[in-house]
Amino acid sequence: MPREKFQTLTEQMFYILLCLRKECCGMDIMAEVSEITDGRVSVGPGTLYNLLEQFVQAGMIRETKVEGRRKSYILTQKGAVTLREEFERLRKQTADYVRLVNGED
Amino acid sequence: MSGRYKRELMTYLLFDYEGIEEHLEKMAAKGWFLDIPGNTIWKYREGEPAKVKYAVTYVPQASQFDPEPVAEQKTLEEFCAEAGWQKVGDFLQAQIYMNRRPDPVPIETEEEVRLEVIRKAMQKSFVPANLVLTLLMVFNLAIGAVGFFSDPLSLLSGYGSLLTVVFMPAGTAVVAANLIAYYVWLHRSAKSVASGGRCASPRLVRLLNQWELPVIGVYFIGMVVGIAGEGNSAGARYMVFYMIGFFGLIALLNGTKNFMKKRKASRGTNIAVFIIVDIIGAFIMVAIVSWLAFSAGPSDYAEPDPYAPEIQETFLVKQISGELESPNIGYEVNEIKAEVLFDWCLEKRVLQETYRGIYTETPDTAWNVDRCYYRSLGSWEEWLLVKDNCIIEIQNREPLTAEQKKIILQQLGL
Repeated sequence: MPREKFQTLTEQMFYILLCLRKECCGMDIMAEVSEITDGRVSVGPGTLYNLLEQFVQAGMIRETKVEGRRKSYILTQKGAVTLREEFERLRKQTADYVRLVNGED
Repeated sequence: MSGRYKRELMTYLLFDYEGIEEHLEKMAAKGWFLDIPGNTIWKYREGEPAKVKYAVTYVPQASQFDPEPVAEQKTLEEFCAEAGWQKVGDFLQAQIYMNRRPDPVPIETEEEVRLEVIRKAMQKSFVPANLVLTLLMVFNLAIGAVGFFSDPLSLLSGYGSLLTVVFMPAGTAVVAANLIAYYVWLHRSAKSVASGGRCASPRLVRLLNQWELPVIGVYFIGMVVGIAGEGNSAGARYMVFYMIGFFGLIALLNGTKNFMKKRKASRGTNIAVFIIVDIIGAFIMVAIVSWLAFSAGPSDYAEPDPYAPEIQETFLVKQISGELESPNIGYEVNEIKAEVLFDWCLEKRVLQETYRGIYTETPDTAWNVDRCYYRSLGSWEEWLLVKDNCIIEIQNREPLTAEQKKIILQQLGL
């Protein structure tokens, strides 16, 4: 069954929203995500630019200030709920893994 | 840096970012760096060969008619600069970047997002342009098909018209193929991305596209030679001048567009001027080409001999037409070399309706032929005769005697 947009989040979507719990300039998110994940997750500038636009259109983030072409964003209530739901989904996945794999061991 | 430049025809389809990237990287490794990416001709400047990365991304909001990059392009450029990507240029909605770092973070790291952006960008220019072109070609093909199926002999007897008959469906297929290739790629990519994979690679289409122009070029030369070989030098000149005029018109339109961009004209104004120049330019171009081809050059009809036969021949049909002085008749003899075509050509001629009606079969033994058809209007008579593999048409003002009919066939070598 095709996934509804943002019904589940990819790693890059997840970490972008995570960074935007606090107001953050769009361009700084690339470095922030790399730092949070110790370089494990990279967000390309094109992907970041397009996802920020999509998140704004979906009402998951909003612009807080604009300085020239540097825009800052922050998570909205809807975005926070989406992030939380994704966290819960991943937590249940992890729990199932631990229960079944550790149970076998 | 030597300061040398070179130009190259761009044969990649707009959505083939992978092909464009690979090609630019190969060029850079040979010391040629993209300087200005036009819509069809790309300009490179010479430099030190280097191993660099190129990336093509898309901004659906961009237009070739904008006086300067739109806000979305500028914002994307700043994002990319943060990751070490330097903008080289853009054409239509495609944005081309270069990075000299050994292992840069790619501009696109999520295939689903990339695919969605490409889909929106193609809806803007590639799909509408190719759809209009395809519909025009199909319309032309339909008109050509009507002509061909109503009177095939006229088209099969000359290489110029024969090649046009072959070219129309082939040309339509080529134009439609670009559109079909895009939708096939889109479908395959969507399927791949949905299961976590990458966008599809249009390698086969890329290969076919690179041979498209050379094949068309050879075909065009063949048509010109074929038409000239039939003694129709004016027609051959027309085709050559038309192609020169066509490319001249394209250069004029690109120059107009760039001039308007430099004058900071808005997108809407630029498009309006472009369309006006295109329409007026096309009319002027056709007028000039027609004058050059038919009036300014040597005429094929300078001193016509009214009784000299006109001969056209292909490997399918040989057609000889003209007038006989005595008895005074007009004639057309079609020798059908391909047996499989005979019945069909005969049927089409017999059933071809003119103001004199259609032919009816008549048992006129004076002609001494295999079959005989007749029609008339007032004193005008037309005969359609079948002898061996020939279809012969005779027009006469005065009724013919049996002796005259015998003389006519002798004079025609039948």
